[in-house]
Amino acid sequence: MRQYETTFIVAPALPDGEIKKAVKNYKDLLTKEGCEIVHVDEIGLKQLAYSIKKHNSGVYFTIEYKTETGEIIDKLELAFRRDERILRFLSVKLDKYGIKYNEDKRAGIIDERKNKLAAERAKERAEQDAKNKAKKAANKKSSKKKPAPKPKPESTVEVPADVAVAEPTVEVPADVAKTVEVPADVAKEPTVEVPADVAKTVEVPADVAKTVEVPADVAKTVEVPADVAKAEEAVETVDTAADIAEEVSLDMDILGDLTDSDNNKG
Amino acid sequence: MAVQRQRRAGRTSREDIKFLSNPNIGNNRKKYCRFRKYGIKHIDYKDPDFLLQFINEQGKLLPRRITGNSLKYQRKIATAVKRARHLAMLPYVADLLK
Repeated sequence: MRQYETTFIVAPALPDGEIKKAVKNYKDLLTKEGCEIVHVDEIGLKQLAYSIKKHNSGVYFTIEYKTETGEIIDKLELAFRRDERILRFLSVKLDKYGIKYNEDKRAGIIDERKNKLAAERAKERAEQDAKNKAKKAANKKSSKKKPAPKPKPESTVEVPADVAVAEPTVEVPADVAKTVEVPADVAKEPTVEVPADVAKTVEVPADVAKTVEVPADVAKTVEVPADVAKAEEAVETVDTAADIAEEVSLDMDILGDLTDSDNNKG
Repeated sequence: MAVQRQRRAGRTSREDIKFLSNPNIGNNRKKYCRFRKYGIKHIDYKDPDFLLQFINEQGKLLPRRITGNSLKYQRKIATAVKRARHLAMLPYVADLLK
């Protein structure tokens, strides 16, 4: 005995009793052919995902039946095709899992299991998220140490650029500034240019020799040349240095905040 | 001035990236076949809500590399979705399905 299931859609806009009559008609046809009807499931009126024969909704039915041979299916489907009330039909042979599934569904086990599974999955997901968060936080801590030492070596490179400020030619520091200023991106840019510019500035020290104090102040500040270039006029380097020192410390604060907030988040 | 702008741009973009990027991007959740894991043997084509998990917004089947299904059950999903489409429980073509 093979078990089959046939799902079909009946047009919804039929006079009273017509739909039931149609279903009974097919049930009778099956029993007459010697099939054993296992179950008739009335799924009911449903919205169609797309219109069929100008109908936007349909009444769904499923008949489960057992038969020795599959010959009945040809007859049944021929009847469906001839019937104008039927919008769609689909016959499927059930394997042992399908039979089990349908039995469970009738007993209400499937819905129960579905809810349980959903709850289980949600729980598992939450657990894994928590795990990932912990891992991320651990990574953040280790990576936090890295960015701090970076700016230091760069500051030593920049000192000559500041030295150049003493000179009337403002263009040179501007060039140098470009290459030096964006500390994060420095790695991308060809750093080969820097020494070339710096080489020019190295000649200067004769003038600079007077102001020995300047580099000491500047050494702290990473971004001095940009502001100096903007000013173009004779600027008191000490003031800008002080301002920038503030800025730099601010930047550091921001970084700290970011990492902290990230830690909290992730 | 150009230098100034460049610096500003560099700084803002750095922060923006922090906030615009997907915070879950580092969490690679391990995928698994739910049918194998939970012992689901039969996939019902009359359950469009369940099948909705395996199709995208356009009603197309999602690949295995996203759903994590094993081949055996991905094939069953595919046939179930196709049957559901035939019965107008799922659309053949759609937009903003979810």
